[in-house]
Amino acid sequence: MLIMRRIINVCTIISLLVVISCNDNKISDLSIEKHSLDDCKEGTIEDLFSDVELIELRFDDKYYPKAISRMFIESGMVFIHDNRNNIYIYTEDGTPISSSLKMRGEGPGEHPFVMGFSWNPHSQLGEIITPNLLMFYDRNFNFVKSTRLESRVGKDSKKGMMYGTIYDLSSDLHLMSPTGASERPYRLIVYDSSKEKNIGEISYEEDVWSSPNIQSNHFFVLSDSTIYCHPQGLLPYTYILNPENLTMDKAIEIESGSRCITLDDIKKLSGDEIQIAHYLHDYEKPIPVNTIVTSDKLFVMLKRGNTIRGFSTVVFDRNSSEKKEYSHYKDGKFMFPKIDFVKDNYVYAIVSKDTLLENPALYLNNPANISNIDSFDEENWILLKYKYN
Amino acid sequence: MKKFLFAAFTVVAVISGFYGYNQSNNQPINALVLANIEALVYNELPEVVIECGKDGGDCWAEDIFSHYYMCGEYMYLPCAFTGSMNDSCTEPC
Repeated sequence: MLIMRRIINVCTIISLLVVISCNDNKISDLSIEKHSLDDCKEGTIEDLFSDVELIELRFDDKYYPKAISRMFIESGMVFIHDNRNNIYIYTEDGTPISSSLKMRGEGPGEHPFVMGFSWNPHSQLGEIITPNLLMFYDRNFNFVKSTRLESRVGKDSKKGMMYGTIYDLSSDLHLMSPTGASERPYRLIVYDSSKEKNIGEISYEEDVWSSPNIQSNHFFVLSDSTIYCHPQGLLPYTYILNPENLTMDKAIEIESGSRCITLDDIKKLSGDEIQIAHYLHDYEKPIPVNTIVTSDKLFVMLKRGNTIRGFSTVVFDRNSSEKKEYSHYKDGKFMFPKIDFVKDNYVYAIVSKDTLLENPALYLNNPANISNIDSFDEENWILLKYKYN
Repeated sequence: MKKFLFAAFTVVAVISGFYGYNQSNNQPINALVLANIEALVYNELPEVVIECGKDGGDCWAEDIFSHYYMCGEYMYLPCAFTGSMNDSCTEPC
């Protein structure tokens, strides 16, 4: 009799554990915030933005970047990464502070080129990734120190490792994405620069559909310190990063709906990853290629084909689930900017002077917003700072 | 004849010098630093001095995992450094 009771007790405990664990999984699924790309109402730029400020980004007379590949704001400074792997630092009103050009080279403290860059808010140092080093500079690009990067991860790995993006968890801990020349690029490597060692990784490989993306900034820190991450690759999820235990949980899912590319569409394509990437480069169905998270909004950029004329941005209100889609190009004119960065109710985009003058929607169809443009150099880039409603 | 040879030699020397100067300003960085990088990445000892471009060219390849860059209205995949002389890549912008 006593044995029977014990068996029953054990079975009851096991059953309870099973039920609890199943419930946990359900809660985890239900807690993902979902938004669909179907049934978006069309919006105009004035629906979203109430004001725009023009900030001229002045460059050295001898060198004007042909294209800007990334911009972000951190610690009260604007950082520009051009397509020739140089970094430019400005104050938020556009006053130049420094550029990495002076430290480009092969001498002591110099870097041959920039593979990735971040401004570390914990150490207040700029960090440049080179093929084998992480190099640290102050805001005037005076060299501070460098640490060696691990060029191989795992004893059995056959390919080398190089890194293209970096996000700082502290002065010494960094999350780095491998480049395409590296093994298993869909993961974040945890690098401890004080020990010059990789101490872990966060993999999201099973969530990735394919490679195409225009995601130049991957981490979004909200005012409540929540860190969202949309890593490199084409994937429907945005994660919340848990910096203490170095894990990521799915937090937001963008559902393709009936009009955008689906995982089934990609599975139907034949060829290796490179061939599929080239096919998707010109793909006519909308592909979500950039996701930006704020506390109350989600900005999801869609691409159709391979020019900005086929782009649109869907803006979701995270509280009410309302959404509107803004076409970037219509009737021969640009109607909406390619958003580079969002912070504190401001959206930032970079355009040339010519583009701005030729497309009035970009200055909200209000000539008063460009009253100071005559003083801007033709070759300088202009940072547009939109206030959103 | 001697004067002619001297003049021809001088012209060739000047042209070579000018060409060499231009080439040295025309990006290929390189050398031991990047050769060592390649050796480091592929775990080999460099046997020859290689030259890699510093903004694309040799030792760079199109990176399908990177985010697209824009060249005017068009998107393109940027070149990323690979350290391998088998690769070569040039960006449109």
